[in-house]
Amino acid sequence: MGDAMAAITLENITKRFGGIEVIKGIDLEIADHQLTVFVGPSGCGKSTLLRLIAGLEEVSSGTIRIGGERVDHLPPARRGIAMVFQSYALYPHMSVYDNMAFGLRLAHHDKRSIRARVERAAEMLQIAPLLARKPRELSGGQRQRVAIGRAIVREPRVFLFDEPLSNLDAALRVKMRLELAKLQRELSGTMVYVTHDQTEAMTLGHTIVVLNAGRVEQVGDPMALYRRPCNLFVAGFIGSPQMNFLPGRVAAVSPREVTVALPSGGRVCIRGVIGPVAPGDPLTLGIRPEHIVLQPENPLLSGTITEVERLGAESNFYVEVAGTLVTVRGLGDHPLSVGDGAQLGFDGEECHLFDARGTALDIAPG
Amino acid sequence: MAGDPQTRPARLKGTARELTPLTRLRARSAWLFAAPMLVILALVAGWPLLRTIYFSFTDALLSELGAYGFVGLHNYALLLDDPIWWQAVRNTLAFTAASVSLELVLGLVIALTLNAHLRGRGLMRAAVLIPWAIPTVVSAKMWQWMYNDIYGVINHLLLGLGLIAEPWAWTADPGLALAAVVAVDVWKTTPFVALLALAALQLVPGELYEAARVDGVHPTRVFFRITLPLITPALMVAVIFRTLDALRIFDLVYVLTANSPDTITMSVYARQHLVDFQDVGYGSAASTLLFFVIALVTALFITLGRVKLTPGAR
Amino acid sequence: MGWRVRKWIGALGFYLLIALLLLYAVFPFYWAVVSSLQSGSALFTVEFIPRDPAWQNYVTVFQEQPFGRNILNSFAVSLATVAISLTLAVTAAYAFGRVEFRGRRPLLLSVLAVSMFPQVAVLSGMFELISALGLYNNLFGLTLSYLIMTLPFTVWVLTTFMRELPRELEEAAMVDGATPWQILTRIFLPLMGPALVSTGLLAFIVAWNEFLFALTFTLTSEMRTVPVAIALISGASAYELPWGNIMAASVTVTVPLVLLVLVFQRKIVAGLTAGAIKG
Repeated sequence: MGDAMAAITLENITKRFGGIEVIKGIDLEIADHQLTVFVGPSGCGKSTLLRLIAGLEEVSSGTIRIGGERVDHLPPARRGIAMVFQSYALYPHMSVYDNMAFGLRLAHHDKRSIRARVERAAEMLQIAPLLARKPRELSGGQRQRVAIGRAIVREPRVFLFDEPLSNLDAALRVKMRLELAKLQRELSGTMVYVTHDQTEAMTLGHTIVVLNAGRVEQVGDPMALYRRPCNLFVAGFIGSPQMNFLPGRVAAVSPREVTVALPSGGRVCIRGVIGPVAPGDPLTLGIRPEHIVLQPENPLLSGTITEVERLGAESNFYVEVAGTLVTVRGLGDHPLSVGDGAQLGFDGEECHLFDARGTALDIAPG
Repeated sequence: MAGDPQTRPARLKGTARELTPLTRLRARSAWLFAAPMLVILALVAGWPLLRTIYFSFTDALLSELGAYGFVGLHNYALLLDDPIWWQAVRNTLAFTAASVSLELVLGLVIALTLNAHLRGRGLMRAAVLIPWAIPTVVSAKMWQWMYNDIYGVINHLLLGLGLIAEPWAWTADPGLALAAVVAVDVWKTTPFVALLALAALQLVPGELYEAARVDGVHPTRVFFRITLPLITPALMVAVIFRTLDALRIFDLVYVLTANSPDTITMSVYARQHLVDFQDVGYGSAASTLLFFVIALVTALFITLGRVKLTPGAR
Repeated sequence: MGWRVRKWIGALGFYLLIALLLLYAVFPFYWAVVSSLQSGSALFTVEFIPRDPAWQNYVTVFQEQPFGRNILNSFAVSLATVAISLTLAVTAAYAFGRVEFRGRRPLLLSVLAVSMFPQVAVLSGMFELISALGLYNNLFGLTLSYLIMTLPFTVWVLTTFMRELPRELEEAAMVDGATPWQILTRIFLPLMGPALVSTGLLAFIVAWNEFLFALTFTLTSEMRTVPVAIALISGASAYELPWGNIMAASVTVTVPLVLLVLVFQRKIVAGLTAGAIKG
């Protein structure tokens, strides 16, 4: 399984529905033997992109290659893909066995090899005792496994998942997430996974593709996206709670560092900024909630706590600073409460800078 | 496939759809799938209709359909000169107006009754369906027997109750015959209207009634202000189908009162000339006129009533 | 306690109304049953419960004409009509309900337009067609002519049902390598069981009840269907109709239909109202 080279190459893909362009020229390399996640807000085109790869939609222009072979003119069944749908789309009138065997039968595999493949997949997914049942007799999690099983028996070059966990309850979702990760390691296949949930993207993906309004915003491994978001959109989308954005202005530039003045009067020095900045330029400074320190020795900002969310191990504090709401992550039992004044501080090392167009300024690693 | 196959065409109207190879392949298989049905329908509906219109300009006879000559509009001229034809037109329109309005009112009453949660509702629904399921010919015969002037149960009851002094000839009396036909049609087809109305009533959210009750709105007002407007589209569909059916009524009239001029309808008139008098040319002219009357009424309903036709309406 | 009395009177009126409606709906059929069980002079006296029920009429109706044959004819024609209509309609419904193609809507509307055709408007053309095909006075000819009445609504109703099947199911089958034909026959058809039963029942009833074509396109009493046979039952003279026989025949052909309706009530209602209330 997955030994054939199965990298996916998208070249200048566009897709129009009627007069509306939903995919606006995407170039992308999806690596072999990896789990790549398409993530983005609803309507960003991530599902359409997946369906274009599957062949359920056809590209308006551009080419799609799987393992070097051009497939954009081929019907889904001849692209060497298998797909797991959001609603599972199990054939309701067929048993689990028949659901899994359907594609193989259509491809005229002989009975014995069909049985062998279905049983191997059922074993792997621990659904062997369910093979005689009908989909309506299964729980949500079991249906999910059958849907995955149906994909596995086809031994595809590429597995496509369209928000496969969104119909499950929260606890089951976490469990299935872990199983999917394990399954990917076992199968070592190329997988493309669509989700709107950034947590799912971060936990599952080897590579994450962030999409917005029909374009790719950034591609990278989870930690790269977290540490070096290339623009405001990615910075805001990856990470939970969201990154805080503070308006600022360049106060001073020296070869080694840039000093940013915040509206509250505080100044932050950031080292290693590469990029054309001049004193007086407007900037957006991004700082993640987990990088802000409450009541530090050298406070940069001060404000009033308007809301506290106690999550147990940690707490989220919402602090109003000069008209902007800043989220701060603190310890679970931190004594501050609503109405208290709070002093905030953070290290220049942890800051992100974005220019007036929202593009991140490159910062050389420490 | 461009877009969602479930999207109704109206939504994609006016947008440039793309014809990618697979879309074209799919469209071709769709034509292939629809073709057998379309061919058969063209054969049994399209072709005969065209032939009928064609015959209406000829003097063809049923006994020798092959030999005919063109007579132009002669048949139509004769038709418009025949007082019986005009009688048939008047009868048809009167029948349609009377039966459809009675069916609508009665159907609504039955639907409201069935919609109230009371015991024996299932039984009642089944009872209401019985007239609908009985073949028209059979119901005509049943009623003909009940209408019988000497032995009929209706006269017997009315005499017994002292409502009439002497037996009435229900199907022979020129003043009663059409009403007698209407009564049978109402009996037979009200269930259809009632079922459509009931289905629509069951889609009215119960919260609306609860809200109205909380606001203390009088039930009559609730019916006219909330219920009726919400079920009007469904009632319109029922009215259209019933009207089109009533305009072409044949079986009931033919079996109940044969070709009697008191009740003759356009369909009965056309068949009488086509078959009994073997005059295919003239009968086809009458049929063609009936066809266009019905087409006109349909067009009026669709434009004036702004009825959207979605698959499924029957 | 005024409102309580008024409520009571209201309820009484309501149930009276129901009773009247029930009587209007059921009495004619009841009366046919009663009359069919009376022979000789008893028929001509009004008895609401027959004092001396007799099966004589049921015997003579089968003896005096080939009524058994007529029933078989009706069954054969109706079943054939249902089978052909459903086969043609289900493939067409797949095209109309699942595929977006140029000309779909005009085609669908023309199919619907056929259902407004008056039967007499196609009578002469149909007569010519059936004679040309050598199907006059033949059950195949009748079956062919009935398709004009059953095809439009079977296509229409099945299209509605087809449209409601989930899209992902079809896509899963496409990924599995199914052709449109395989999607239809192996995925959709098994799921359309209830819809096929609903539409099939309606088509059966339409064909079973049809009168004008059967009257015009058959000649001999052996080829007649039940409605024509009943309409043409006659007595010694034109003025002495054998009412007992007619009622016996009527009851004979209605009972199976009434049973069908009672058993499949829900399915019939579903078929009748499918889609109509969405307009």
